Amino acid sequence: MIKRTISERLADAVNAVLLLLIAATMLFPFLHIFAVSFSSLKDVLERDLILWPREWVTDAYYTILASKNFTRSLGVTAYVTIVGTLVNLLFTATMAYALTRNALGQRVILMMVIFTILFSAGMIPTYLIVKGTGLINSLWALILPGAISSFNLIVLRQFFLSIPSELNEAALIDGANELRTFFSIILPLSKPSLAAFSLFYAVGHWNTYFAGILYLSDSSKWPIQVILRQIVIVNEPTAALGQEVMLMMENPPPPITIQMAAILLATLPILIVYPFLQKHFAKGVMLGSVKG
Amino acid sequence: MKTKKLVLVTMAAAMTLTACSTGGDKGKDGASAGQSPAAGQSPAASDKKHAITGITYVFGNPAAANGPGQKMLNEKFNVDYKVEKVPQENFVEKLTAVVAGGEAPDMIGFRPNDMTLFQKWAKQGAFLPIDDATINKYPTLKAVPKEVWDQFKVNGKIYGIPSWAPIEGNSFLIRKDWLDSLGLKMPTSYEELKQVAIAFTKNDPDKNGKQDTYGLAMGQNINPDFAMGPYWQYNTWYHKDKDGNFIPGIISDGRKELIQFFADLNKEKAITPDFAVLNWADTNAQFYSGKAGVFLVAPRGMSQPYMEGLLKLNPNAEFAVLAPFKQPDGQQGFTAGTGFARFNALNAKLAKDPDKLNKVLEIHDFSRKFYPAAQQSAANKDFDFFYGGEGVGYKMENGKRVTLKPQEGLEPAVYFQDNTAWVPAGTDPEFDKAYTEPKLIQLTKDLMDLNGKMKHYYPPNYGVISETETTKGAELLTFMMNEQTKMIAGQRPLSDWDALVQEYLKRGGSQIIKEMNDGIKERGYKDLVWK
Repeated sequence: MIKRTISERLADAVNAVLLLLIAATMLFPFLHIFAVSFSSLKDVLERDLILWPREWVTDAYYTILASKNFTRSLGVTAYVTIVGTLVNLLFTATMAYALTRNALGQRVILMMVIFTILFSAGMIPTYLIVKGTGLINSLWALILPGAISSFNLIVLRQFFLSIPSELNEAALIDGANELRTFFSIILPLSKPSLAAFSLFYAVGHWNTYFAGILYLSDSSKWPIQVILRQIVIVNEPTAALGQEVMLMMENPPPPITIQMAAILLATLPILIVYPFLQKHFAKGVMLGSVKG
Repeated sequence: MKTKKLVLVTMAAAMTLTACSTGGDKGKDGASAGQSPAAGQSPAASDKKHAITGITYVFGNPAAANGPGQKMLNEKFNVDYKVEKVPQENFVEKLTAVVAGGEAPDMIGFRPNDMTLFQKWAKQGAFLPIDDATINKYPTLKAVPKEVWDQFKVNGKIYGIPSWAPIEGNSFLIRKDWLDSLGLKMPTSYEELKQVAIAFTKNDPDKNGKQDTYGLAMGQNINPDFAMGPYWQYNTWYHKDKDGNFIPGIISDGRKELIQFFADLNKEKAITPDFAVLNWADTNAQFYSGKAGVFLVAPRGMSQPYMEGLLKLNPNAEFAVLAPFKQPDGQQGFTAGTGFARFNALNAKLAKDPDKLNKVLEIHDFSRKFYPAAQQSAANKDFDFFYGGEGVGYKMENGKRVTLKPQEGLEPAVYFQDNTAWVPAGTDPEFDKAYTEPKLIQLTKDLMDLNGKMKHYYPPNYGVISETETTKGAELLTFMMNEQTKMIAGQRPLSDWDALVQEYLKRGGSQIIKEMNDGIKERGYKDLVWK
């Protein structure tokens, strides 16, 4: 045991307090949303700031869960998130790995990938492609157009490049072909980065909003964010100017308690994913894979 | 390889897009050739089952696709009818994508703010002109006043069918119980309103022994505007400059007076603190939590849950509607609305299929039918069908229709392109029917009575479009709102007003004024119209 000086302890204490404060500012909005969603509208109107319900009321949740729209679109989003993330990982990882091998045209393809980071096609051309491929009004329209994020692809390729080539050689000597090497050696070694990318992709899918409106004409296929926005923001035009004011007036917002309950229900599932992926971020996976 | 393919397809798509936009011009000839198709056609159409498509926007969540109401609609009219309902804030993006995709639906909805897009497409020949013969044939089209039709004329022809909206104006409601408890009378001028607002702030009108109340509930963008007549309204054209041109309210003397009024109140803490950053929901909460004494009241769309919340907190709350104030020019009254909310255009291609067009118009006419109180019962077959049948889609309670299971699509009503009844002139639209809370019903009735008694100002700018306004208007208005907010908060002196007006003119305002006045002159509007 190394003895710590008083100043070191003091610094630790200050750090702890500061970090706790920062954590509290992050948690505070969630606590507020949580408390309001379980309060009665009367309480919310009466009190300035609510951090804990005075009396517990579940009316807001009852209203939301009774609405088929909400639960159905929660299901749609869960489906798109799970299937979408799997598709993302499969395509991103395979293409990234292929681009680490010295094959003909590898550099050209890499340049084209980078090109799409710099220049994107825009809304209408992309819509035309989705329409041309017959994906309109299909949930695949939310998954396939963004199956590979160029940025993630390049970062993952960089990660694959950092894996010592001796491992590939060793696998080759043991008789593994490229496919076997990829699935049995490379992928298991890449778990931490795959976990990180699956989180990026999953959160992206969970927040799908505009693509849902653009590509899906059947409202029963809308993802949760569209429904959430309709509940929470429909009445909140940031530019509440001109004739919009009149439109806004004619469509009053649902009570704040329902809005908050909707936010909580729509955010909770993706929040729960985080702790489960946490363990994969543990360092030292590569430690000791190559000796000497 | 995937990416390479993607790039190729993208390029191909970009070329297709260019092809599309040239294709749009070709449509022009098609539309003008197929004039007045509906004229002289009898409604007894053939038995052919038409597929009719439409696109429009919704607030809130639309009913499920293919609900029972959709099937009822299709069976009744022997059609395959499908209207896509898009959330309003992304409606234009979706609409342009769908139209660029080459599949413009038969019926296209527009928001009032999309007038420029509508006019652009109408000029390119995308829409079917609505002629007099058509208008006279269908009662709910015939009921639309000429002034309202005029707003949809492009190159002399009508291309849009408006959905009804009240011309009745908003006003402001005041806590009558607070006035009474302080022995004050209803304010009839800004000076009196200022005294009332200050008294509400300092004299504890709710008698709870705490200074926890104040005067006016206001949020970001100086909303509501507390304009007690067109003279003070920022979003209408009432004032003229020295050359006799109309100028927008945002730079008028009336607005300056109002900003001064707010600045005075802000000093006395008689308007919402931090109003500059308060959103609309929170602004509502200020009034409905019993903190503020004056707030907006509209003929329709008041929130009953909020009102009930307030009455739970303050069971003795009483309300009164403020009448418009007498203006410096001697006039007094409301600003009339445009008389429409949303509007629809018909695809020019319908000209080629008069039989289908008849069907479209027949259905359109049906869904715009107005049912006065006396006809609202299952005994009226059309009414009963429209709302899904008594006991299935709705039930009657104290003479009011209550929708059962609104999200399941049991009522055909929710599947029509235009399901707003066109309320004929001189008919009571019965807005109070939307509520069950007696005090809210009374407020609505009071506001409508006041509207009935008072004159209405018909602004010159309705139906006039300025290109600059479309491109720069919103940005310019935001700028003005921000600067005027600073003036109210005391960060910029009010003596800067003339400089602010100059800035407005320089940033594109003078161009807007010129273009609007050209349009107004073309319309033949000279003197202020009060009716």
